[in-house]
Formats: sequence, C-alpha cells, structure tokens
Amino acid sequence: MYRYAYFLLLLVFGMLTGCKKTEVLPTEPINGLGGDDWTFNALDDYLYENFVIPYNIEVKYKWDPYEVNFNRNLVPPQENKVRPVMETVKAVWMDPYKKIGGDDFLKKYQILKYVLVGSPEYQENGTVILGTAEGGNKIILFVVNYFAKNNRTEVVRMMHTIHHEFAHILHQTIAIPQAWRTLSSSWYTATWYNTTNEQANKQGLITAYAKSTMQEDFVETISTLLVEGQAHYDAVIAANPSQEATFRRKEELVVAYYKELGIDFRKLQSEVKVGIALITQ
Amino acid sequence: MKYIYYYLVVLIMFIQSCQSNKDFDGLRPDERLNKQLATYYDQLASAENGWIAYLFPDAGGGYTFKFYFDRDNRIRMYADYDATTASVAKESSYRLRAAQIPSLYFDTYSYIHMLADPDPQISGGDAGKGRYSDFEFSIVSASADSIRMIGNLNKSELLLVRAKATQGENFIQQVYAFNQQKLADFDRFIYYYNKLTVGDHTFQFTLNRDLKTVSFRGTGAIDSITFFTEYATTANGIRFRTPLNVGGQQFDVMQDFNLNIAAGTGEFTLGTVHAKLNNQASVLTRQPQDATSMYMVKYQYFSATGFFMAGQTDVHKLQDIPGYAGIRFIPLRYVDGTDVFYLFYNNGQYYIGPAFKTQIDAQGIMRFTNFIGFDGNSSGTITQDIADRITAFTRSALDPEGFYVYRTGRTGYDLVSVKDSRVWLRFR
Repeated sequence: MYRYAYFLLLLVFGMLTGCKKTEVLPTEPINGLGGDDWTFNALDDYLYENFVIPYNIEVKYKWDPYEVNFNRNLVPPQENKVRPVMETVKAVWMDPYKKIGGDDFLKKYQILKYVLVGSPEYQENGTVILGTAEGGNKIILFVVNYFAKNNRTEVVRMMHTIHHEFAHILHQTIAIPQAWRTLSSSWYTATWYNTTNEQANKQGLITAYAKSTMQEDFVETISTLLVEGQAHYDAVIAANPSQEATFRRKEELVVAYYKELGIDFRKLQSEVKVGIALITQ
Repeated sequence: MKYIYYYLVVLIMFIQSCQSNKDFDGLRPDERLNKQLATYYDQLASAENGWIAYLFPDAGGGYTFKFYFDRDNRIRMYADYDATTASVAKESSYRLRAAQIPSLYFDTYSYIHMLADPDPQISGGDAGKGRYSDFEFSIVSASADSIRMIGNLNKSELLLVRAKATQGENFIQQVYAFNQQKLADFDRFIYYYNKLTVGDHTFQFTLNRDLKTVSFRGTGAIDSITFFTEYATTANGIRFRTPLNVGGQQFDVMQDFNLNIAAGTGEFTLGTVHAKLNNQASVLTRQPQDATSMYMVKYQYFSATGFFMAGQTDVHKLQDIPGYAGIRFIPLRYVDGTDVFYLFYNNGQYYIGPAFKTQIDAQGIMRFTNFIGFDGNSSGTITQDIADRITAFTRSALDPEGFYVYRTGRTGYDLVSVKDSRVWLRFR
C-alpha cells in the first residue's frame, strides 16, 4: 500500500520541481502601450497643463481612427484651431461648473477625453453630426476647422454642443426626472430632422433635435438655457404662448435636477453668460 | 516487482518532460515592429531634399505633393492644386503608427486632407465622402528611394519618391506651371485626334486635364488595346498611376514634351523611348460600345467648359454667363426617355437647356434628335445673352450627323463631332 503512496509522492514532487524554467520578461515595451508618442510642442504643453494635470482630461487633436466612426470620411483639425477651441471650452464650460459646483464637481462627473475632429460627420440621411458623447466620459467635437472666437454664432453653436454632451454625461449618472416623461412624449420621432426649430417650438420643444428622444429633449433644454441663455428661452416662450406651461415646467425640472447635483442653476447660467462674453469680446 | 515499471515510467517522464527546445531565438514581434517603424521614420526624415509624392484618390485624378519630414513629427508640404498651395508651404504633424500594417498618419490638417474633407465645398467631391482620398496610409513596400502606400480608409494610392537636389522648394510651382502651360497645349490642337507613334506601334492618344487621365487606343492589329489611367503631373511631364504595357515594355512616365501647336506635331519621351505625335482630322480607331456605355453607366455628366472648337476652349463663351456652373448632360431625365443638356448659371441655382431624345446607331454614333424645346427652372432670369448662348450651344449639340463617343477614364467620355473633328465636348 505504502508503495503507492511513495509513488504518488514522487510523482507530485516531480511535477512541482521538474519543469522549473527561468522566464525572462521582455524588456522591449509593447508598441503603443500607454498611447501614442510624439515630440511635444507648445500646444501639447498647453493642453497638458490645463487639462491633464488639473482634471486628467485628455485632449486628442491628432488623428486617431479608432476614436471616431471608422467608416466615415472625417479629417483631423487644423492645429491653429485647437487652442482657441479648448480655451473656449475652459471659459464657458469648465470654469462656470468649477465656480458654482466647486473644484470637485468636474472630478466627480467627469469628461475623460475630448476628441477633436476638423469636419462634421455626414449621415446617410443628409444630416450632419456636430458632437457626440460616449459612455459618460468622452466627447467628440466636430467642425473644429470652422471655429473662430470672434464669431459669436460659432462659439454659441460649439458650446451648445459641449453643454449638451456634458448634460448627457450627467443624466447617464443621475437619471432624468420621471416627471419629464409625460411632457412631450407624443412628439418624439426618429425623423426629427423633417421639423424646423420653429415648428418644434410650437410643439413645446426647444429645438428640432429635442424631438428625437426624451434624453435629447432634456439635454437640449439644459444647453439652450445655459448657452443661448434665459433671454432666448423666454423669447421662444413669448412667441409660443400656448406652450408656456410645458416650457416652464421643463425649466423647473432642470433647476430642480441641478439642485440635486448641488448646483444653483441660475448662478451657473450667469457664469456661462460671462464666459461667452469673455471669449467673444 | 511490477512497481519497477511505474518507477521507470516516472523516470522517463523526468528525463523527457524538461527538454526545453529553444526553437525561437529571433526578435520578439514588438522589437521587430519598433525597429521597422524606426527605420521608416529615419528614412522619411533623412531625405534632405524631401519627398515628391503622387497621390491617386479613389474618385480619380492625380495630385503631386512635396513633403519635408523632420525628426520632431513635423511635416511641411506643398500641393499642386492651385497657385497658392503650390508656393506656400503648410506645416502640420505626422507620425508612424503600428496599425495592422505600419502606417503613416498625417495627423493634423494640411493640404493633403483637403481631398479627403467630407465638406464638398472644400474637396469638390461628394458630400460626406470628398474625393475618396486618404491621410493615413499603410506602407506596402519601400526601397531606398521610393515608398509605396495604400490608404487605410478609401484605398487611394500614394507613391513617395526621394527628391533630388534640383527638385527644391519651388518644385511644386514648376509642376503647377507645367500643368497650366504645357499640358494645356493638348486642348489647343486643331483636331481632336492625336496619332501617337512609339517605334512601330501606333495609338490614338487623348490627354484629359479635367479628369487627369490619359488614354491609348491601339490602331494596328498588334496593338488592339484600350488603356486609360490617371496621371499626376511632374515638373517636366506626367507619371501614370498604372504603367502602360507595349510590346513587353512598361512605361510609367511621359516627359520632355515638345509640342508644336501650329504644325500639329509633338515629341516626347515615353519611359525612355522616343514618341511622336501627329494631330490629324481623320478618325484612327473607334469602339462603338462606348456610346451605349456612356448612356447607361452614369446618371449625369458634367462639362466645365462646353464645346472645344479648333483649339479654342469654350467656343460659345458659356463661362461669361454670370454665375456659370457648367453644363450637365442628363440621360433619361424624364421617364419617357427624354434627355436634357442643362446649362447652370447664377452659381448653379438656375438652369436652362434643350430637351431631346438620344439615338445610338449600330456604328456607335450618338445623335441628339427630336428637339422638344427648352426646359428651365426660372424663365424670368434668362436674359437675351443667355438665350443666344444656349441657342448656339444647342445648335452645335443637336447636329444631325451626331457624335463619336470616346471613353477617357473611369467616368469620362468625349463627344467628337462626326462632321467636323475640330469640334468636341468633354464630359465627366
């Protein structure tokens, strides 16, 4: 009987010690591990100091096909547009939230990555995409090549996109208030682009794109209130008195939603206004 | 006793199991990749006179660039699109990346991106697609003095050739001037037909500056070929996208042009072989099926200039019409088989043109007959001047003797008057 035991012991011993090899790990780093590498210039330094160090936000302006819709024709941005765009982002999006929500707010509800693209993304249905948000932490900004600080329309359009996308990130963390569901449900449609903004306003929606889904409605309302501003919102209501109740209810819900996040929405509005004035002066 | 066998088995296992067979002693994949990228990087940056690049987008045409790569991921480039891009260098960045195949990325915007820009105002191509061009390229093959690449998205072709000391900063200006002056001469010959003689081979030759293509049609029994390819311009000639094969020889450049418009003759070097050109009135060769294919293949055709006549471009002076935006031939404009030529003016907003029926006979002659009348979208805006010009154009186009059709590229066709070979019309 013991013989079996010795035999088994020997076998186990053999297995444990038999094949000791000294594995040497390769010293050569894996190519591209930790991101692409290039010689930094002044622009890279600016982005590193203002976005990576304080908030760990990566600003990718150099072309990377895997960050965007890879089967679409897109182009990288012009280098001289990158800094103006990011300065605007800082003044009109980061600084207001930092001031009202505190330094930690943007660390808690964070955008981790900005990807800049020079052109718009053309869709099969003839519309173009100006910005997208993904997974609650990445924003792709299109049409960077058309940007100019002194062009107020262009600044408002781009910042509308950013506040729109950031609001997506907020509601991907804290859900949209239930009461929102009942307000404009009958108007949501996949073919929103057949409606003009004026027609949408008549239906109680702030823009045509707000008609696409409840989420878009919510974030369009937020970004319009912030970027186009309260005056614009009031003017839309004045032009469509029949929808006043809907618009005012949406406004209330937005203010309440931000309160839940610990932000005074009214103060945020005025800070954004200051930021836009600062940039476009 | 029988346990001894077990011990034996274990013993054999000990001996056998630990034979480490070192069958790999090369470099690891990452090491090889890094080494390869470093080699390419060094090759690109080490060319002190830069690189001449020929780009062939998938939508057609050929473009010439001059690239200067440095060791800090920066690149300066010139392009032969227009006088400005040819003379003012634009700086941007580049990097080499380990994609599926080691790739060269032009990773911030420069001249090369304009062809790929999805905005049709910038690229002159389709909305959302541009000219189906690229700015990230897989390196397919490389020798000391040339690198061949394929676009990762649209499969456009890029060929880099190391520049010589004589091909300096103003090289692209020379290219642009060559295109504007020398190549334009091909549109100034009296007749449409060019007979090209290379040794004992003869071809009917066409150079289409609009699409940047050349076409060779063999005329003898030994040369029964039809060959067309895109070209890119060099400082003293053109370079073909795909080489021409004649009698076992391959030709990929045409240079040292010496054209005599008045005499209707020309000489140049095809590859390394001397070639002769004679402009002549009579047809050399024809392919009747070109007419049918033109009618069926595309929904509409565009002509920038209207009729050529005896070496004169735009003989009806259509380009003087305010906001002139080209002539379009739209086969099957209406369901009843009525076709139209539309002249676009006021920056393409308005159009006017004759409606007719197209007949193609067994000889491949295209005739525009059964004139129905003029069709337009804004009759109030038609001045007497526009009416006169479109009438003159219509008279030429609806010539009862019709046109021979020659294909000049993937999407290009020339219509040559049967009656008078000095009169022709170029469509793309």
